[in-house]
Amino acid sequence: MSSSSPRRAAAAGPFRGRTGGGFTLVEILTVLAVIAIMISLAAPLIGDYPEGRELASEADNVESQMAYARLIAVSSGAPVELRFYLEPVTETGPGAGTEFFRASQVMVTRDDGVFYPDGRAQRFAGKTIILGDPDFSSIMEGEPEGPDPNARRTKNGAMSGKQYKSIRFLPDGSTNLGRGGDENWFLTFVAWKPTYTGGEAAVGPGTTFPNFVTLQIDPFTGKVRRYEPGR
Amino acid sequence: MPEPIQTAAARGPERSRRRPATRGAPRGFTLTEMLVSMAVLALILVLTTNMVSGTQKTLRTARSSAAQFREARRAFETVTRTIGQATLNTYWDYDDPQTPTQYLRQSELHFVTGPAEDLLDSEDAYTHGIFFVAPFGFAGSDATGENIGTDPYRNLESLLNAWGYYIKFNDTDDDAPPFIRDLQQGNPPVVSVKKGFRLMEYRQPSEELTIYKDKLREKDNDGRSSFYQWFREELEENSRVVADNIIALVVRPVVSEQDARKSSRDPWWIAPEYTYDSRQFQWGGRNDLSLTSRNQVPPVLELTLVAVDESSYIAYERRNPSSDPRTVISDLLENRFKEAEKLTEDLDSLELGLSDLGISHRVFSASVGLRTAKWSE
Repeated sequence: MSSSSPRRAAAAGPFRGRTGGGFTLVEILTVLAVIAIMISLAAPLIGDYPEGRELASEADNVESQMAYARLIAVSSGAPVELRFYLEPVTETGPGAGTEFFRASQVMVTRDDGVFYPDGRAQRFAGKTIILGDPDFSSIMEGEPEGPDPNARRTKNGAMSGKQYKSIRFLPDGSTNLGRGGDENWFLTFVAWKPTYTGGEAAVGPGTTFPNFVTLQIDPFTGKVRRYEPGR
Repeated sequence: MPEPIQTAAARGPERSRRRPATRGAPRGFTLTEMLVSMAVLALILVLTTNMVSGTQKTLRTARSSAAQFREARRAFETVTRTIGQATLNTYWDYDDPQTPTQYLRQSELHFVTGPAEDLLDSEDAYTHGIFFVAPFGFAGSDATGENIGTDPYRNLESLLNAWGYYIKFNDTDDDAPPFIRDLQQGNPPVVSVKKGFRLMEYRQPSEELTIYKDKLREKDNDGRSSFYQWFREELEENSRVVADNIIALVVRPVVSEQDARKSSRDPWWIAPEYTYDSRQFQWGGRNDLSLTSRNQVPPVLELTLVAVDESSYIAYERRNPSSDPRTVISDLLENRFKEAEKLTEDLDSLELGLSDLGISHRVFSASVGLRTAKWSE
């Protein structure tokens, strides 16, 4: 009893004359709130971990869509198109409002030769985009096609007004991509940065997009190969 | 006097939850209490993050190996579909047009399968290879991608093509996208070069078909390799990768169980060392085998592909930076798949060897009936 008295007396000073020896709940909550704010401020500096994961899973999805499109083309005996739609980014920053390829959709054809959507268009999660720079996405070279009125309204927004680039998978398992000896077909996924306004991009360590996934497609066989940093 | 007693009774249970040391006024948590509770919290946090990241890791490997084996399965389907259409376009003709003595089965085409080191003119040969001719109509714009609308070969869907499959080791990744090539050559490389065994498809466009030019039917004792020029000559130029990370292609020609029982031989007697060559009668001397295989395709091929999982392959490379996976795997393949009767045995020991290295893998097997086979012994 007597030994605790001086400690309480010492503690009483900074804690506005209270007689208790510890911290109150309010004090602890305040400290925790301050720590939380500091962590949330520091998180972007620590790394792009969740962003990289998002990127990888979107590339996975497109890879499966390619396998699916090829499968349907071979089994149905009719070409199947995989489209990448141009949409403006909605996040804030100097590059906001610029259009990027950030949604994909499988289109199948009926007897009339017109392509209709097969299921919903898939918008890429978060800031994932496909670079339009032909150095990193040779498939995106040249003017986009569309808009196509048959790309009906979907849950993810109206694609009928959007321009797009496409790959067509043919019934013999091949694609409509050029087959010359030096032609090489690929797409590169990155996480959009507010400073990027389109045009020439830089990919690699310490440049604009250190995180990326590249999918390469063999025009003859429809085989997809994947490249990403560190692998 | 009764009043304070009442108050004390009311406060009693509340106060007893706290430390008895407090005197009337509210009291906060002590530093020790805070530290203990934070330690417990941290422990719980660490445990849960460990659990979550463990699950994520399992999920990721499962997904990658599913994707990996999806490619292998697709390749396997492609191979079985195309091989089933191999043809020799046989016809019956005199043995010698000048002085005919008998009617014989004749062909201008060729079907050959066997150990790759015999078929390919290269050190870079693993397990087996198979080369044949089939009516795929792969010609003109199919090969170049140009003039699709005006292609003169457009409607010729049954033109003959020389076709084949074999395994190759790749350590350069020459066909990667140009910017990836640059990143691979950096120091340290940003993207690693995909080294590994690949299943290759040889596909020669119809307009470049050279098998007739070689006049195989007229050849006599020119040596075995002279019969293989039609696929050896432009093998590189006409080859595509069908699937990555395929380490073995094994083709065992067999006859049906019925036929085997009738002649009381093993079903694989037509290729005891895996070699089946429809022109063996021209280079291999006169024997039972060469007479039977003369200008006919085998009725059934038992086809096996062994695929390894890329992530476990890379993990092996990282664990053992000093050992070259190419040598390790070709050592595993060495002296295997040489005798047809030991196929199951060889496969089992290969699988065991891969498991010992910690490389996860999958074996694809199927029997493929050749549509054009009219087997006669």
